[in-house]
Amino acid sequence: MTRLTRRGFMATTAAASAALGAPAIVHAQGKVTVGMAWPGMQDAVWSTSHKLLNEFAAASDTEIELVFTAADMDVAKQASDANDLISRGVDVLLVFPIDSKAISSSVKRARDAGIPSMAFLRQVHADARHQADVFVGIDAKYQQLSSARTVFEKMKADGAEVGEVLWVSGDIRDENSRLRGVGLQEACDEHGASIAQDLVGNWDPQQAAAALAPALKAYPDINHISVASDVMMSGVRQVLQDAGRWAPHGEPSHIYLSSVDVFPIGLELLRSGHLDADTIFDVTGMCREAVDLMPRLAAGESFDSDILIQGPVFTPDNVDDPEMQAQLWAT
Amino acid sequence: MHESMIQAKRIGLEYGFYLLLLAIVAVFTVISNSFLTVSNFVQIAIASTFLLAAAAGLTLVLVTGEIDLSIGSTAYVAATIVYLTADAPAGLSIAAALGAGLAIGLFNGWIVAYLGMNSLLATLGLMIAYRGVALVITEGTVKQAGEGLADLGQLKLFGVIPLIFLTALAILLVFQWILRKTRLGTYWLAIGNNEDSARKIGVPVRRAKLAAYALCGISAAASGTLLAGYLGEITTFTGRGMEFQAVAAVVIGGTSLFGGRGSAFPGTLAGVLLLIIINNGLGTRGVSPFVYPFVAGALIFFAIYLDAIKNRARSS
Repeated sequence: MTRLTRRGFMATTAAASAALGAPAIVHAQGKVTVGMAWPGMQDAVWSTSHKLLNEFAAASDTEIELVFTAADMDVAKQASDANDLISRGVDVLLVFPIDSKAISSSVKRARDAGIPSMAFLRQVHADARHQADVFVGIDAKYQQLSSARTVFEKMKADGAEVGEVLWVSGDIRDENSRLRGVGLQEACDEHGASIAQDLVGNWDPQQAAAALAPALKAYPDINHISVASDVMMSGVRQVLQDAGRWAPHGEPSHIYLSSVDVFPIGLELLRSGHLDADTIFDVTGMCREAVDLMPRLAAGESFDSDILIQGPVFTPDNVDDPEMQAQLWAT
Repeated sequence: MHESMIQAKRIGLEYGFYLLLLAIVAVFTVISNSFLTVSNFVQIAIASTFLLAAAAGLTLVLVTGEIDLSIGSTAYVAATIVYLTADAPAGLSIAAALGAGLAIGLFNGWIVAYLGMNSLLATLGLMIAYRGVALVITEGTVKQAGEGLADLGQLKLFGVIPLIFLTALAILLVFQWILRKTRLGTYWLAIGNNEDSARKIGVPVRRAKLAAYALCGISAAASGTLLAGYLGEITTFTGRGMEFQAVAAVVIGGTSLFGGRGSAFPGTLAGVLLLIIINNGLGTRGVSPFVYPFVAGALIFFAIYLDAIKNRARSS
């Protein structure tokens, strides 16, 4: 649909939504109105990203108005929210999909209306027929790769044997967890290591503990555990404590630990020397990038590839550096 | 001959599950050097603790022929209370969390027993609502438990047996005592067998159901509190999916989904141990994580199938 026909559609939909009672967007010169179809506000990432997007939008050189909707994890409501935003004539549709396949129909409706769409954090499923114009998310593969790689390098510098790694993964159905596993495998390939066992923690510390405890028996000589998220770290800590293997770096019984997210427990364990590397879940960088893209997307610019944010790796040596501290959002 | 076959079938139906548990322990002992060790059994005890505490109370509700699907969310609410009282002494924090569980249990019992709502649908809705309350309080983030409670969560009797497991076991044994040795327990069994008949012979059906739900709420809250103490923190995953695991464990342990029959000890204890031991045993062999859901699912299917056979036999 051309820009001209899009305006025609806007006029029609704006009139229709006004007639139906939904306030139509008034398009001021140079102002970009972005409709946000969010999954809800129950999760820290959802609420934090909402807050940061508003902050960055307010500080942007371009005037950006964010029109927010939250679907409370209801796929049908998210589709309805997206339709409502399209009807109201937003300039850009920003979707944080609850269901990466179901959102495809909303993306199509936006495209039919001449409205570009941006997927945020969760990509529209690769098999879906209609893809968002751009995806801004976290490079999940890089997160685990960079964290594990840092630990392998540290192990080699320490003269420790690099061999097998226990992998405490997230949910087996979760794309982020799968990609983090791919990242760990790449790090292993780089350093001549292998994954001894995939332990499904389902992002739950209790389940992570239940899976890790017997695996430690099966692999008593293991010296590196890679965890898919700090959210499971309390379970890992308990199991290692119970097994007498909970010791900071430098002590003989230390098990090297790599993780992802840099949540408060990760910071605490980096400072105590128990955790060796932790790659941040860079919500700040993702929100900054998304706001930068909004005016360009509204102006009709197209993007050939996804925008994947690669956050820095936190280690015991840099955890309290001011520039690293400035990256934190979950503390 | 015919009678002996009937007798063998009856024994198989009643005790076959315990033989299966022993057989599984024997198999894992043979195929894994690290399975039959004190430290591994300590890990099994710890892994069993949270499900055991929650399933103990659910057993009582299932015996009455009702169900409570909100136990996982109740555990999360109780853990959230632990967070809200993190600065208070551990005893106060525990009492507040259990009090929240009691209040939830009483409310669940009231809507089922006094308002006559379908327990499956009512507690399914409340499961979502209670989790929502906890999410609002925690803002969907990880929160810390008080240091006193976290210290308690690490205590071990004789330096070996985790206090949290003993606590869950104590809850289970007390509930079994109530079920078998008190008038209330008799009421529950009578209601589960035939609610109308129980009412006609003077059983206070509504009050008895209310009591079962109240105890179920307390045990679910105990589960959440024990988990918060063990991990030292409260995550949004607290109690997630616990209701289905607990129903599976209770039914595998021989408690009928139709009510009127079952035990917390040894039934539910064995059901929980079976699920945990399979998970642990497969883990010590390095088996693919995809295998466990299949094995557990097959086991649950057979348990429910056996339950149906038993009920058919009882009816005929």
